[in-house]
Amino acid sequence: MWNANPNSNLNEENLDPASFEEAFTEERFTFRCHLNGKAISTEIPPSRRLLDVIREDLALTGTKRSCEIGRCGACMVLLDGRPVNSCLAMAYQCSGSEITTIEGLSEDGTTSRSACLLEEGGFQCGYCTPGMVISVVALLDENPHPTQVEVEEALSGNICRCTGYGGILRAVNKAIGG
Amino acid sequence: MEVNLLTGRVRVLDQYHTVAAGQVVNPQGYLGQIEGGSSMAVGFTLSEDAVMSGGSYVTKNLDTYLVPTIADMNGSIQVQPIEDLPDHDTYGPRGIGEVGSVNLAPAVASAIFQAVGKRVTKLPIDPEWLQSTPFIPQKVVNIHVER
Repeated sequence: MWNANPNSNLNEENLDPASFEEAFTEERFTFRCHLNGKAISTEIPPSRRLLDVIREDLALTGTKRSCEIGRCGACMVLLDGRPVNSCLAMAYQCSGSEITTIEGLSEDGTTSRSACLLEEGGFQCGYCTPGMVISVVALLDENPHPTQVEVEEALSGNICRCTGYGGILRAVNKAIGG
Repeated sequence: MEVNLLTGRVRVLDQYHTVAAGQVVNPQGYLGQIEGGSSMAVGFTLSEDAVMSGGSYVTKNLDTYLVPTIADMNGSIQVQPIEDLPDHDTYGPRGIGEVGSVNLAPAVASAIFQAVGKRVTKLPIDPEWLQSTPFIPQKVVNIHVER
């Protein structure tokens, strides 16, 4: 993407984000979706990622930006109930869909599942937590009684640096149990 | 610990940590720091390698810098605090932040030596060092060499 045109001065070294954006944003696109139960309509460049729409345009900063290549899961949101890395989803691809971010899981910000993470020490720095909660919710909505292997598979797209996953596994097991 | 001789991959199946840092103040934080430290250590022992060349990183992102996932950390972990301080210890209970990361690499290296008889001297442990030719191809090769 960066070097699509070798003669272009828009390469990685002299990239000024503003001019880069400008170069690709002659067109505007009306992005419509349901986000956390509310109808959203916003004018965005067609090249805008879902993550940037959520964090920058809509100021919902619970969804985290980290690796930006879909490896860490910090930016995970529910797209029609399925977990998706919002750093890899272009906003236009999500037109008309039902998007749920960490803020949309409950009114007061705690769900029984995120409460389990709190109680069992399922986070330390907390950066992976929004994505992790989204993954847990997606798993348990689809399969309320997953096996250990299914839990591992469902959460293997969410990298946690500091807990070592012990607290997270105990929290998920608690959520499954009660 | 388990070594797959075909792939050279090592899995940490069971960990026992004992930490002598005085009285435990926050049991959840204590467990979290030891477990979390052990996960960091599993990473830098087995998979995380930030390769540098000419002063800059060749390992650019999480495509090749492999932080352990939940599937890599599914072994059991026991944490045993030793809460009694020695008589001459006048400093009292102390912080245990990331203490779980200290001993795991030497323990894994030692366990590898016990399991397959190879001394590992560099981290992360390259799977290639632990690979051995499977029995049947080895036999075929030996027959061929002998003739």
